[in-house]
Amino acid sequence: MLSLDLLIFVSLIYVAFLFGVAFWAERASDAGRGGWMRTPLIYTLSLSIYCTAWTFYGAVGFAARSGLEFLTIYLGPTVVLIGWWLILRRLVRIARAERITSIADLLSSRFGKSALLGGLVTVMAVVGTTPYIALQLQSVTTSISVFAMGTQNILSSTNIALWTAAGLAVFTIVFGTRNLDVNERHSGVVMAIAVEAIVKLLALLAVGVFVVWGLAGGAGDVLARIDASPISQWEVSTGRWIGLTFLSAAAFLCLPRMFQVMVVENSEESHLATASWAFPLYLLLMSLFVIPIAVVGLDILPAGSNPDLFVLTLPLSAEQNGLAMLAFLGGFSSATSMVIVAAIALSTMISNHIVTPIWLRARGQGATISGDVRSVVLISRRISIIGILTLGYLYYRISGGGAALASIGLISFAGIAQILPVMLGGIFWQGATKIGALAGLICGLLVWSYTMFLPSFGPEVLISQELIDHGLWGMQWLRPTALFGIQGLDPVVHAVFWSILLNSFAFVAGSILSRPSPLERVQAVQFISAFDSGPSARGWQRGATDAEDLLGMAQRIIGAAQAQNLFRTAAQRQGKQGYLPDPTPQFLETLERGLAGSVGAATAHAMLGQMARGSSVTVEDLMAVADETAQIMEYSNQLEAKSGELTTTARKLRDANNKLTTLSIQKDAFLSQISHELRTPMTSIRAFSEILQDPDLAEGDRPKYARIIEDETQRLTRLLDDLLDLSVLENGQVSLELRQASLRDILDRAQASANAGQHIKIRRSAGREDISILTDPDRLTQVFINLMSNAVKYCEVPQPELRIIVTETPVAMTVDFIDNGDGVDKANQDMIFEKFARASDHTKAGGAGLGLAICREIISNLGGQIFYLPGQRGAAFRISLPRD
Amino acid sequence: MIGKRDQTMKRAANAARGQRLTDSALILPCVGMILFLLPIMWLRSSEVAPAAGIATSTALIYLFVVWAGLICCALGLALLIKRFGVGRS
Amino acid sequence: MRHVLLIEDEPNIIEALSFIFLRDGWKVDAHSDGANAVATTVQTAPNAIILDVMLPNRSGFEILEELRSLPDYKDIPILMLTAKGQTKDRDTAIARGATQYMTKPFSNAEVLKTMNALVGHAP
Repeated sequence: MLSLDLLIFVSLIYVAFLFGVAFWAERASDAGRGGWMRTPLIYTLSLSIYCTAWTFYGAVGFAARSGLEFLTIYLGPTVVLIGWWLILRRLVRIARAERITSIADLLSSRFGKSALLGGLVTVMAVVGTTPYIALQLQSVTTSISVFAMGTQNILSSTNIALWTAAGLAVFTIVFGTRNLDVNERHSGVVMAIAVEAIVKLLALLAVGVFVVWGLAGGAGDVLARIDASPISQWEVSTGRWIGLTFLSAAAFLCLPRMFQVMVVENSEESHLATASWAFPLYLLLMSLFVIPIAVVGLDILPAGSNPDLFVLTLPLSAEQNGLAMLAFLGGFSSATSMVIVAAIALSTMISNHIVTPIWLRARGQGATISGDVRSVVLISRRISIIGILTLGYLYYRISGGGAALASIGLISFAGIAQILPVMLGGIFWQGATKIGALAGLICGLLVWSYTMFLPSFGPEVLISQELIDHGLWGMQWLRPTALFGIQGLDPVVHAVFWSILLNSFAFVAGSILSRPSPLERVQAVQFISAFDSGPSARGWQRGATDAEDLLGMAQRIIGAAQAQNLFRTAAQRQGKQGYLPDPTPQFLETLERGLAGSVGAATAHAMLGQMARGSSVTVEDLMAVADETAQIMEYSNQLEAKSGELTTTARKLRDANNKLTTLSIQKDAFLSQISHELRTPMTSIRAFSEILQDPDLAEGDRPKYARIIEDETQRLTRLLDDLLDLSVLENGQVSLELRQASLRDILDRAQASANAGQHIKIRRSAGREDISILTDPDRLTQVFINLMSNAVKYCEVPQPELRIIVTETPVAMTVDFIDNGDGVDKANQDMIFEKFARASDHTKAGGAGLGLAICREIISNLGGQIFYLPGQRGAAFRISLPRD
Repeated sequence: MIGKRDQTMKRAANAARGQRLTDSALILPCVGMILFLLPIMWLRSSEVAPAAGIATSTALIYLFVVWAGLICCALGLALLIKRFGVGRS
Repeated sequence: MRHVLLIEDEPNIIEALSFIFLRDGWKVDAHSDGANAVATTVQTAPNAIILDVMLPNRSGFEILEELRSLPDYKDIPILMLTAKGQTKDRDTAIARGATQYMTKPFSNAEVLKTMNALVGHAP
């Protein structure tokens, strides 16, 4: 017998190994080396979380009790995957386009971004998943107890369950909520799951091979034993065969964890094509040896042995401790991977559809007030994960890990399957409405609870025996196990049949009888026409929404770097420079999708609605859009795409023309500026030279006037130096003296030379400045001095303050100089880097207005960029430099 | 002129092949479903005359063979769809 | 009494011009900002003005135009100075009513001679 200590030791090593894999995958993916992790193979393996401990251990038990019927659990998903072209491809395409984060988000988004629907689906998912998590905890404790038999039992089973739940919570929080990814993809988790998928497959195959060729006498012998075993007495039930196949197919599509790995984590549509054959193959291999193990187990092991544990007890009875250990790890992998993904999927749903909407409502004005929405979302996800695992643990404790758990797999499946009619309706039927969806879901949920969930706890636990025997209010046709007086059906088939039927009926009837809201119609067209190219129907009208405000809000939600990226890309697409695109309807829609990735569709819509209120989305506008027929819409979409292209081209041409005109004007202005800058000092020099020649001049005045001449000469020299510097830089003839230097030293040096600390308070983040960069330190110092002196000159508030913020990414480094003054007018933001451009009174500047132009040239010679950063209250300049 | 005609022919052939592949992709799951539901009928027959029923081992082998066949078809279809880039917009 | 107002933003040029005119016996006032130039003119009531073109906040041309629109200053001699040295500027200055126009740098003697001629003072 294997010692329990060894077993726990090996399990801990295995867990540590999984942590290592996940950690390493996250690192690789951060460093941009994660390409190979997004392969179809990893994608397929991640789908294997469909095979939980219920299938790993339970399939053999299922086969021992009901023969070939266990196969239905695998045949359903096989059909769904082989038919990927029809449903899965559509789901993935829609989820990509609409930045869907979960199945609750899918339905909420489809039916007019309804917060209510999202919340309802979330609750259904939690109710349906909690027993399933309890089942996984139970399988871990039961499998450990097999090894503990006959030894001193140090760990009670509740302890094991508790520690397992806690460990899973830690893993999920560390790798599932590390960052708020716009795409909700988690490379660490997916990688760990892929590893677990291989472990469980190998374990089951190893046990199978051992049973067939080690315990039995090969394939022929096993086939003979099958026909001789009690399993061959099994008779197929048409209802159960069809019902269970349907149920497993439905659950495969609707389970929150399956939706997470299959749709949300999908990085490329083509991976589905590979998974369409590879995953059925995985399922085939997983079930290949189930019947042989069941048959041999029934044959060899003493009568009354639990067939759910044959996978473990068969190797143990043959003293194959290593194999038993592998089998245990396989079961452990099945249980843990399911719990981890389920917890991630559910926590996303809870935070996006329950916590954030409530939080936003509680804050009254929603997104328009400052505050970090990101941290709220992350914290709520972490707490949700702990909550979900606590619920699972409590369910396990309360149900006592008894026989009631055995049928839990199917009960959960049936509960989750209630989402199917609404989901399919949502992606295929344009007439489906929110009212219909709510009616269908609630109806399905009620019928499922009444006919399956509540009775599953046994009579007198949640509902009375009286009710089971005579129906609600004594009405025979309302008996939970024989609705409408139809008796003799298998209970599972009965419950699935009625719940799905009434669900679909309510959904269709509700949809036909109700009128969709304008937003619903728009979303319906988006979802149904997922495969038509071209720009989508418009959700937003062009409004006076200020792009700068939007940027401010987006930064708080998806983080500064990502928001700036999104805005810059959008601006470029519109043919504009800088960070502020025009708030066109298309841009608002892109932005809304970006935000939806973090906080869910309904919330994102509400936030943007608040920002754009007054200037956007009147009901009439939406009606006008939605009332168009599909053909007109498609036609206008095509026209729109073309006219959009023309607009962009025209804008580019106009910009180019403007630029040329401006350049010509600038050239004239430049010459006259130079003339002015040269002649002014020369005027003083000439005037005083003439004065000095006067023999009558008082001796005391001579040195004074000579000094003026000297000062003005220096001014001339400085100007000429600047001009030459600029010309050399502009022509790229500059020779840079590149060497490694510390950013901190350069900033220190600049601060000392600019003597900036005396006139303005400088706040630096000392901790982040320890960066060694390959640059020309003298040139970079020159740039920093210039920016610091600018802040001193132009920041006119009682307590001037300059923040210098250093940010590091693997590929670039940025240094922001942000003061608390009035900033630069929007009109001048484009001009300040031009020669002789001064945003205000020129005497104050003291120089010729070449400083920023020189800065720009130096930075571009160093391979970086300098630009004005809008939306920071004061004047803000950002320098970004490449790293190595 | 000929080049242009060739191109048109090629495009038409491509479209037809795309249509055939799309149709196959939709028909395959239906075929699978029907084949998977077949055991209901013969296993039922064992009730009427036990001797005429089909042995469980045979049913098992049938199901796995169908399953493997479907996987092969799906594999072939996936390769063709990827190769010809069907369904890409 | 010869009284000149210097409207010019470069302190060194003001110093030079002041020196020249004071030595020649003029009363000299100086103003270095475009914004209040007209008000200062009314306040100091000079009988000749030297006006720079490039001034902070308001251009010399605008000041010239406003002065010419006031009845009291319609005919006052105004010498415009510019460092830009473009003929366009000269035309603008004359068109808007400058009495004389000179490019920087200038000869001290020439400025003095011109100004004395403008106010009708015999050398």
